[in-house]
Amino acid sequence: MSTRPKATIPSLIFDIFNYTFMFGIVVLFLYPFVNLMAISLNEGNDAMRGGIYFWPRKFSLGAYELLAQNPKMAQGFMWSVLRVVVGTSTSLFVTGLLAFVITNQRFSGRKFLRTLFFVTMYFNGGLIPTYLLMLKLGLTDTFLVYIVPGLFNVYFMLLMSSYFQNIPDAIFDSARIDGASEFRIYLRIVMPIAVPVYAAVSIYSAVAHWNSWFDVVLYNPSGAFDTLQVLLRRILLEVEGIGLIRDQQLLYHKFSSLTPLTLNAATTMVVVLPVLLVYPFLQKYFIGGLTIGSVKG
Amino acid sequence: MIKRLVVLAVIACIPILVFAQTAPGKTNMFGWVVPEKTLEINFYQADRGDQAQHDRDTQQIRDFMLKEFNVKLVKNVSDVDTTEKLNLMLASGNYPKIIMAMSADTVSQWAAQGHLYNMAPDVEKTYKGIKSTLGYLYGMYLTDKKELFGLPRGWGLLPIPDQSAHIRWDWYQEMGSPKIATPDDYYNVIKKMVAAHPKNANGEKVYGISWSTDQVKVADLMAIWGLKDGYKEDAQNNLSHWVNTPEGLQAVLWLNKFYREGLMDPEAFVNKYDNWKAKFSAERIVGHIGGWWQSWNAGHEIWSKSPGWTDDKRYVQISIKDPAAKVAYFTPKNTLGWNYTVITNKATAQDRADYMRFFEWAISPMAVRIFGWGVPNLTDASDGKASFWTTDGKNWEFNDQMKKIIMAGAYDQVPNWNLRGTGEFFITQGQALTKDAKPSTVWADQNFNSDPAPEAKWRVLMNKNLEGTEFDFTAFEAIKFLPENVLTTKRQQIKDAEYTGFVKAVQSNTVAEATANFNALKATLNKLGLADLEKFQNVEYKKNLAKMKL
Amino acid sequence: MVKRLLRRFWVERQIWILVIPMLIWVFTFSYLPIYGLIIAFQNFIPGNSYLAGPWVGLDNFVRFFDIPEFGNIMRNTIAMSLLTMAFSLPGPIILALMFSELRGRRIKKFTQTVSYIPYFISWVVVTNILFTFLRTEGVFNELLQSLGLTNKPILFLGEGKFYWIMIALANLWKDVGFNTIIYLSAIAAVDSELYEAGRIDGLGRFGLVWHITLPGIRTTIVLLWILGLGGILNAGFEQHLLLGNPMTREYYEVIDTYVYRYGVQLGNYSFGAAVGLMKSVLGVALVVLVNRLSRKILDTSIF
Repeated sequence: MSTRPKATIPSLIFDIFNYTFMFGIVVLFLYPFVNLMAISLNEGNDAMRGGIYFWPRKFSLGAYELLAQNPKMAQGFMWSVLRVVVGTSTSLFVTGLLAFVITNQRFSGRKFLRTLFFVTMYFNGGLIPTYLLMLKLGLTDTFLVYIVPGLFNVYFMLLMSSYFQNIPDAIFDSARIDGASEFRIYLRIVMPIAVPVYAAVSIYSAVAHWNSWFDVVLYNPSGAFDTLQVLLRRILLEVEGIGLIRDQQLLYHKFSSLTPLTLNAATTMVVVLPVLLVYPFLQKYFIGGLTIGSVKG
Repeated sequence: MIKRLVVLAVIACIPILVFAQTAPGKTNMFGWVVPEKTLEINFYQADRGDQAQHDRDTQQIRDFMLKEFNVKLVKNVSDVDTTEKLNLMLASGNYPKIIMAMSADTVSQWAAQGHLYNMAPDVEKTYKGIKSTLGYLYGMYLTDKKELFGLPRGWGLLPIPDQSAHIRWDWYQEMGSPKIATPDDYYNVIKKMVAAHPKNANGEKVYGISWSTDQVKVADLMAIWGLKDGYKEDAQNNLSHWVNTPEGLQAVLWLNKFYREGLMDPEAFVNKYDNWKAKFSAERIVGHIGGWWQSWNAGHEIWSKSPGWTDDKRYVQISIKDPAAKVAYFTPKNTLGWNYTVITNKATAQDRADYMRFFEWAISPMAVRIFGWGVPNLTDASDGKASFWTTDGKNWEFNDQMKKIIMAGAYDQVPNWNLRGTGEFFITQGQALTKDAKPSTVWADQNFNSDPAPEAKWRVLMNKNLEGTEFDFTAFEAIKFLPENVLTTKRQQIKDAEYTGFVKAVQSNTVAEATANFNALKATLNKLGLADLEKFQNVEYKKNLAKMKL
Repeated sequence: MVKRLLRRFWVERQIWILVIPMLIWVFTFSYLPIYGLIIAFQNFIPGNSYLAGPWVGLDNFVRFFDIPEFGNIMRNTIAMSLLTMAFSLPGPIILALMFSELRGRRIKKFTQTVSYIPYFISWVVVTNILFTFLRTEGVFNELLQSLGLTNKPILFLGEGKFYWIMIALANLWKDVGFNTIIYLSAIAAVDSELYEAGRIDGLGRFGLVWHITLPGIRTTIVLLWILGLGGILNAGFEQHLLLGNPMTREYYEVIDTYVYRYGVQLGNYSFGAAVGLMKSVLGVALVVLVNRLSRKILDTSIF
């Protein structure tokens, strides 16, 4: 695909169409971000009146200053990053190993193992049993609760094994004849060859880790391991439950200290921005994976 | 001889008696016997909340309680769904010694499984202050077996109107403040007002009435036709749901008129709170039927921050009622309180004695003030730490400077006012007027409802406008719907269908269509089992009424 | 027999050493909690043991079929799932193909990065943005009016008939960019020699896509579509709680929102578990069925 196809007329028309289409996509997908940015940079009370679309009406950095003063933000950022890095790398490594094992045609337990994991995709015990398990295992109020329960992911397993299936068996067989252990084959042969799928899955996994919040509030109620996402959610959902309280006096006291719109927007920006800043770097490896993929054959 | 012996014995006993009274420590000026060992009140509060924000807001009051009372208050909140959280605690057996803000239904559920401590014997023998302060309400909290598993929070009657009709005051004055007494008067005034101000400053269309989806309460509307919280009560205390009354149709048709004539925001039943607030504060909605704090929060609390704001640019609560109705029952009051504080079976006998002693103190008038208004007697206003009030333990006074701010409801003029932690610790306190020499209520801003000061004039005016529209509806609110009751699900289904059908009827294009939609709604609800629900409610309602007369 | 099995184990011992920790993990974290599903057959009260009962047989399942809104709920769930699938399954493939046809690495990188943004923005924020656009006075209504397509603003958010398509488009908008990742990596893995061969055979640009790229990523497409069909009863949750309102209730209530409001919020865990179990069984059945069909017709399957 690296060589350019001949410039025929339909091809040219397609290019024009494609660029126009991409322009539309950029506008459609970038707008919410621009809108949030504008709101986050507006003065708090003024933003309440609505009607901010592209530019802040009354410029102010107040919301960001407020965020910067909150020590929880830096802490939350640290836990989020740690969770993404540790969670993604461990999960990718062991799920990849699982995918490798279940694609090994010579392994007798292949089908059994695959089905065993596949079933868990549809059946889970639900909230209470899972919670009790975490409690019994002593995983609550630890950082490990973000990592261990998510080590193996069936969806990733399926994606990776469908990729591994396309690797010619001959490569493994020759390694086996040379006396390499299965684990060594995984490390030395599978992982380097399958970089594109690792890259793709790592993005899915990293994003899932970055976005998850339910396990944080459920298993780490102490707040010692609060991630960025949890802090954001807390602010965004403050208005929730307004219909449940009947006492107007109580409501008034709750709402008079409500987080302003601008702070919501600023916090969202803080959560989204790192991903957008980091992504281009990830993409480099991703593209690196692409070239390996095309050289491979 | 015997006489002398008795005297001697008595004299010998005096030190013991005195000693016995002061043994745990000395009594502070708020009537609390300070324990030698710090008493820790560590509890989970079943409200959705942010721990960090709570910790920040309560620093001042927690320090004060530790220093003056040797009581360490530790409140744990979490932002998961509270029903879920409590069920997880129950399932895992991993719960604290004290839980606050537990709903009546949850208290029943936990008590049935033996997880809660029955406070009745203690309250009746030792901590009688609790029983006497709660007064006639005490009996309402007892189970059929005369057990007491939870102490109420926010109980009692706060005599202020919550819901009502509202009018944009400056524009109403501009019109020469024509008399508004009936729903038709209100409609006419709103119509004229919209005609006089068809567009706001940005050229956007102005509407007569609107809500956000969380605020629409059918009951607020039905109140105008004399219904109580959406139910019509007859002389025998039977309650009929509004769809089964002629008033229900009248109310729907009245609101439908706003819709048909384009006076209702087309998105009245679609708005999120933020959207509604934006419209409201952009001066696009002239009327409001609902809670006072909404028009307050979205109205002059925003406008007052802009230059050129005048004091009468605000919403004022007014009462309207159908001529045939006796009273507009706008505000049903549940004097039982919001929810309950419980002691679980994790507490030891010593813990229980300590906790009960603290709970008894917490219900006392001075405790109500401390937890309601924050730490007293601080004078440094520069960092926002000046107290709302001063006291010597017996008498009390509002700080003059703060008083003006409180009366005007202008808290945000005080830096960090929330650091006082007002209302953050509701342990056993009520909202009713305290029963001491100089009564007050727990909410600082509700103590000036008849104050002659100019700052308080709006509150005074609104309370006068709505006199008699609040009513004690405890007997109805106290009806329990437990998970195992089949009516619990039916009730929710009826509520869902009621809301959707109401909106459909209101947003009909003709009177005939509105009537047809109303009748369709009536048929749907009755098919869903409304009769069973009414029957159950009536039995329970009458039972509760009887209990309250005791 | 036993001897043969043991020999087999011995031959595969290297693999079994790797597999044993996996087995321990899956039993602990996945199968141990599944035991909790037995509460679907009783009236479970939190705090009691799972065996305490009272046992009610299939009552909780029957109850779900008996509710008056059952027909509506099933209709909404399946309709919104199918509609979302109709957009969201081909959407990322088309977008990924268009990305891969872009010339100039920078533009490619930029557009791709931009297309992921919506995925990271929470539904709360998305709801606000949708409101701004679709309001009766919003940009979209103004556009329609200025084009003369309507003469009266349309209440998009308050009419049931618009709700399904709105959700399907919102889902597409939110996920399409992000979901291209998997297809792009599959496209990248297509053998470049095949393209060369194709070109020699005289295939043009569109021919290459049709005859080489698409067949090359067929496994991935089939895999994702089969998995997607298995999730047909998952029609979203948070978006409905946020975007739905009393005027659209008849159209937005799906299984998950109903279970949340009537199961979890009213404390009926058994009911919730029963509905969850039913959903799972149907999901697996669908996957197995589609997988079998796919093996027969397309010669591709996931197991």
